[in-house]
Amino acid sequence: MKHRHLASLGCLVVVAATVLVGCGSPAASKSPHSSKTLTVMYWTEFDTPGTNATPDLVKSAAAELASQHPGVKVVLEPVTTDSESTYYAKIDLAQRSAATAPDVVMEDSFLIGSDASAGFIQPVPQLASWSGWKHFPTAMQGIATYDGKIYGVMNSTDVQLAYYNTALFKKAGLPVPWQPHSFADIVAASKALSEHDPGIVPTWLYTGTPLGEASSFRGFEVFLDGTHDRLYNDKTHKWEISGPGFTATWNFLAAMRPYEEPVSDWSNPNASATVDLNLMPASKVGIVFDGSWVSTAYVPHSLKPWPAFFTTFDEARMTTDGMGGYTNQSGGFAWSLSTHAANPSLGVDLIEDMSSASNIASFNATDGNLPPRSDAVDEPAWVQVNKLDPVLTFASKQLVYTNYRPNQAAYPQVSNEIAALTGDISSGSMTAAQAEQAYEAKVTQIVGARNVEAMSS
Amino acid sequence: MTRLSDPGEHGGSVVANGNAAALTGALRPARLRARTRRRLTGLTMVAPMLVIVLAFLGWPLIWTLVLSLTNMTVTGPTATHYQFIGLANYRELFASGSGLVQSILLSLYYLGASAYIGQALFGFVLAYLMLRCTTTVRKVVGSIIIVCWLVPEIIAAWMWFAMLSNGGTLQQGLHAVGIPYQTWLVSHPMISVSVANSWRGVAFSFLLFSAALSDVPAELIDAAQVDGANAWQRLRSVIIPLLATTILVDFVLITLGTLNDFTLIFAMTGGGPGTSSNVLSVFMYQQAFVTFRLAYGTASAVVLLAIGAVFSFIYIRTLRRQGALNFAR
Repeated sequence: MKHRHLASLGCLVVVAATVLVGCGSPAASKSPHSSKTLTVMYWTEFDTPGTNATPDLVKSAAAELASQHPGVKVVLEPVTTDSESTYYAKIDLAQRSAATAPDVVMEDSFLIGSDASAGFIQPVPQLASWSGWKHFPTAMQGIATYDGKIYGVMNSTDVQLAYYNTALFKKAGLPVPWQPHSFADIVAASKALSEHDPGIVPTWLYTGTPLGEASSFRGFEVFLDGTHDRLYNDKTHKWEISGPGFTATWNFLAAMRPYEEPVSDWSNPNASATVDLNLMPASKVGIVFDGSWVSTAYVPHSLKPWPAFFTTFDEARMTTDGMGGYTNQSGGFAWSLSTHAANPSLGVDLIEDMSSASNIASFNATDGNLPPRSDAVDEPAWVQVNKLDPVLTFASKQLVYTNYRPNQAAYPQVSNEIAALTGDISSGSMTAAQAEQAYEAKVTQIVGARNVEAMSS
Repeated sequence: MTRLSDPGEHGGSVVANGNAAALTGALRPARLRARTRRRLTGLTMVAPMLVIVLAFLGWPLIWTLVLSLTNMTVTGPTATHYQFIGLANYRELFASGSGLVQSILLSLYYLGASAYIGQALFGFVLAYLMLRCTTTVRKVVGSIIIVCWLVPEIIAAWMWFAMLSNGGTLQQGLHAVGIPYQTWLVSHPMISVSVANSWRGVAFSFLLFSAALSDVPAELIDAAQVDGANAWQRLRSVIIPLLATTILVDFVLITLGTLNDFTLIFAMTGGGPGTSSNVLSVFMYQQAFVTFRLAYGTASAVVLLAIGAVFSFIYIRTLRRQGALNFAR
């Protein structure tokens, strides 16, 4: 009796376990790395416009590579997922083993430091002497650098913009063109919009965990970049947890609470579709802080063709908080070389071919991002798409002000805490002061007390 | 025991003797021998399955337990150079502020509301009422219920999202008739996902109970009726006891299915707003693949496994006591 009992319980536990364990080990069915074949792993979203931009880029560079090195074959390994974070997890799991790792991989720039410290990608110092390298602005070089070593070449980037509805602005008595110069200017404009039209969302700010990285990136960090404080101090190698800039940013978010979108709009994972495809076309939102790609959804043959966007909305630069000048923050993807690459020099050649001015221009013209290479803006493909979508021209000019996220392994966790805190402020469950304290505590817990410091003013 | 472990040699000598007296003397061992052979045959036959189970279920289970004692991450320095950190992940999980307790409670709420009430109870009521319906009604209603079950989970999740979200079907419908609607996904996320899961899963319990109810002998019901039992008494004292095994089997399956459910909640609310629908499976995913703390997420998977095991243990005990589930005999 006892044995049977145990046996059946054992069976059930095992069955339950498989259901729960979920992830198995990847099938090692791939051919081993060969010195004549390069595999390239990249992200494709489910059927959306621009889906072919990356395979086209790889194929175009592969053809150039084949003319330089006859007999070399490039194998495309698309990873199709619904979200970027699923892609990160998949490539990192694939890179754990030589059997599943690609030779060249498309890395989200904010994970370069993390994946480098994991040993997934290798430094490529030879890129510094490549003729194309000098065309990448300092920020675009730095974004792909970790611990003083180059780990890849940026392929696409973006900036953040304040899109504002000119008709609603005029109605609220606000100046058009509009350019805020401090956080207070943004609050004041939002307040005016709210007072003149209670039926609209005065200002859209990404916030809360459902939007994850968008909330911390576009709902907090790009504003913090407008102060003297930063998330991470590259000189002392410590995380900043407090300072006047942090206080100003938390206070700004709390001040915006009455004027931002209602909880029901931001508290689900589909919020960016709500603002881009519903609120903006219906003129139901005054100001939208979003990425530079927003307009690409409205050009002809896109997701939601809407030619009137370019006359309905105008764009303002991301402001500093009264320090004069402008700021910004960029992300984007880079091409990196896997640690398991069988023929690193061939891999670097492919990366260089993919990063030529014309390839980068063609890719970003289709994909809706910005070329990280300064001489790519004169390429015919980029010039052509800028005629259709003038926002891209304005956006490209913001790259000189840009910053990027800390290239640190702890960043994803810190970012998650920021997203949660922005949501706590927006839902009213925390004040600015409480969020500030919670942030100090959480970051200290994540990276350890030895690795944090407070910014002095 | 030594005799059991050495059956071939002993048996060989008996047959070789061909002696009646020896045969009588070896009667007991012969029976033992036969039983041993039967067991060996059985063992040989299940051996391939056993190997598969151990390789594909046993090993991942052990690996999960091992992983939960490390500091492995998806990326970062500890992705490849991880260390054993003992029970630190579990200590962190059970420390206050980790959100685990909230997630466990939400998982239990989800289990209670969507599995026990929404699927089992409602499925039983449906099956019971359908006994009284005409064939046409039975066919139409039965088909509708089964279609809900056939819809892939992610599509069901999206349908319910479109229904309950801000500007969704329900809101627009209610507005048209002048009833204000507060977005359910935000104001009552757990009720929303529980309703969706009940809608999706009720067919399974319904089918199980329909089959069991049709096996209840009509004479028993008639006899009870003759003895003066009213409808409620017939249900309580005759039908439900006869269905006890079916009910428990249903519980075993829907409990594990519901505790492990991830897709529906993740697609409808992402665990939010805030953490208000962050059930254990979503918690596990977020720790492992959003904050990239693979080992910490694995430790929470072990907690989920333990909860599933506790429920399974209770059900199995109850089933045994009832004399059902005798497959090991």
